[in-house]
Amino acid sequence: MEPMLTPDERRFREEVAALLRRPEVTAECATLAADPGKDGYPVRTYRLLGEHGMLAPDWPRRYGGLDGPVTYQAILQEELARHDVQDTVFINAVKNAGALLMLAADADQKARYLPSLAAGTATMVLLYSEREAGSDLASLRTRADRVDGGWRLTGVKRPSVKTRSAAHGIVAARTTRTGRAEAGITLFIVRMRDETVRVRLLETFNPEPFYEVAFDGTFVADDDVLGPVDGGWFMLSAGLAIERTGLDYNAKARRWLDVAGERIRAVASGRAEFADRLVDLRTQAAAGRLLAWRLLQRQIEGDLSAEEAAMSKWFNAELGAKVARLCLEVDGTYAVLERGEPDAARTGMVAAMLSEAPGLRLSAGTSEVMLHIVASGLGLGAASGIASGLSMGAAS
Amino acid sequence: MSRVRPEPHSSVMTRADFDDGGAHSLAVRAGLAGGAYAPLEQSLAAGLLAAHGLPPDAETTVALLPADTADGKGRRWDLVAGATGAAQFLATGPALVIFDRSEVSCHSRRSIAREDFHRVEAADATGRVLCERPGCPSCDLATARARCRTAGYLWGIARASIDAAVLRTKHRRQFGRAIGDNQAIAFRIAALTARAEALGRLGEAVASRFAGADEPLRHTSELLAACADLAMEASAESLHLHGVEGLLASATAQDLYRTAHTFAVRHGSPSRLRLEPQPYGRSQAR
Repeated sequence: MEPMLTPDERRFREEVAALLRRPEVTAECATLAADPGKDGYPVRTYRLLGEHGMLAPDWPRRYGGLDGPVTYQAILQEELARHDVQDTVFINAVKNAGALLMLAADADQKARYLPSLAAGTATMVLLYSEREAGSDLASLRTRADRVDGGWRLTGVKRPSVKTRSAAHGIVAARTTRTGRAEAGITLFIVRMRDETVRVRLLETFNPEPFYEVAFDGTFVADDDVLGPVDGGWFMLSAGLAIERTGLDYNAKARRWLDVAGERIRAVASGRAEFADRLVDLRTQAAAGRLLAWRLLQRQIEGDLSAEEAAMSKWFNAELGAKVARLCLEVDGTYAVLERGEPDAARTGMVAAMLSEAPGLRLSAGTSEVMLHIVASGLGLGAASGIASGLSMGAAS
Repeated sequence: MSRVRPEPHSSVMTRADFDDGGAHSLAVRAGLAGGAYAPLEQSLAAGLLAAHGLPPDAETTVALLPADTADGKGRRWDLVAGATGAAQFLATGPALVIFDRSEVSCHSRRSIAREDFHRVEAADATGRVLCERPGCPSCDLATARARCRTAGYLWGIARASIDAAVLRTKHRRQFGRAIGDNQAIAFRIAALTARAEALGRLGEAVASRFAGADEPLRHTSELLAACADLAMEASAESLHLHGVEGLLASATAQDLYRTAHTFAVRHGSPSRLRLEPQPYGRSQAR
């Protein structure tokens, strides 16, 4: 069961797919996959999409988009996954940071930052979480002190991904230490290539390395304050609902299901127990996709609810973990062999899935946070500041 | 193949040569400590040699060559655990054949597992056939013994994962309280604990009785399937409850997750173990 696409949307999908089928795109993706240690991203592919206005297709033309509906972004997301094009930087810079800028930035900030993101010539990273402030963002400790002409940031953010390639970060910092914790948070656009910003690699089991970013009195001018001072909490909550459509998780899960189907046909044909699970997961993926697409419609109508977004994010993130496990069981120990090893399941893609799956349930708000939001919407569970539980935080 | 004359079976191949309860208990402890898996197979190999009149000396390590990954000609095996440092290699099916290290070449395999796997090739070497007698009780029980020990190891990994989750959720505070104070989290850990306790008792019972039971392979395969499911679920849950910090390379939670997911399918998927609990043939590691 497919979402109903308009003729325009179908044409846009065909155009995106045509670009992503180009040999230079395939070659760049293969080069990146062969050397995951470099932690790169498909720069040329992003720029190619940017040249055609397709990297941020739902943004206004003056910022490098196509003035398309938000469904264009969903289509792009699905096509990136379908063509095995790494999408982390797209999610960081366009889908999340870009959406936040679109929501909260003033005209000058939009003009300064959005065009380069849409063109694929610059990237941006969100820096909210801290070691002791994952889901519970209100307890963050990074502080911003008022100075002449701006603010100085001091604190440590972790973890983030694709951080070294980012030109700017959107940082949540405490600007007021009295009153309700949520009320004293402000967002800042910070230049990452600054001598007071230290980016440290954290070795991890996740396929993409994590980074820790330390700010040591980093100066941010007043014109790079994003939204009102002390008004960051509201924007974070609104931005997170946009992050959590679940569409990226669904696109990934469906790509992985394609792989599961291939592997079952290749090494376990006739195994009814796997066929049954595959069909069940495909059904769930179809349902999750429609759920995510309905949120896009809500977004267009300006009626996106946190509860529905949480449902979609939870449903689709859990799905990915189930698909990874199915692939493991189909291929047995060959599933843990990495790319480049003879007989590695789907040339090492299954091993990468097993590494990536745990992070799906943590990123953009843990599964527990999502369920709490859903429960709160039903009038169940204790009220708390959990409703905005943030990205890549520790469980609950 | 060169052949050596095996010792008379009657004198050495009794069930008493294998302390299955003790071996299971050691496997559990290895899992609990987050130790390596390879010693389990090495001890099984040593036991098989002893049962055939060739007790290896304490300094000689013998790696097991899994029948599931054999190439069909008895010349190449894959995903061999503990090959590094092994002085000999023991193929367990269809005949029991031993190779000296000088007779084989070992090729390291890159994987997300914590311990090394190798592809082992015998090339022109034929090894020494130790046993090809149909109905040899030690050889017949080798697969069941391997599965019972792997079940114990995975149970230990599951238990260690649960312990780590309990510790983490007692100390990690978010929203002004320990995350383990949330019933949604506490009850999930409690359910895993109850499953582990039940399977722990089953493991002890199966380990002490399967060798004398009518269907030893079925009992050990079903036990392994249940412990494999538990280990995968417990380690994934523990890793999740550790949050991003659990994914760091230095974190025990991700170690346990990798180990559980690597060895949970060592003998085939849990569903396959339940549905087809016979020894797998060649090239059927999946």
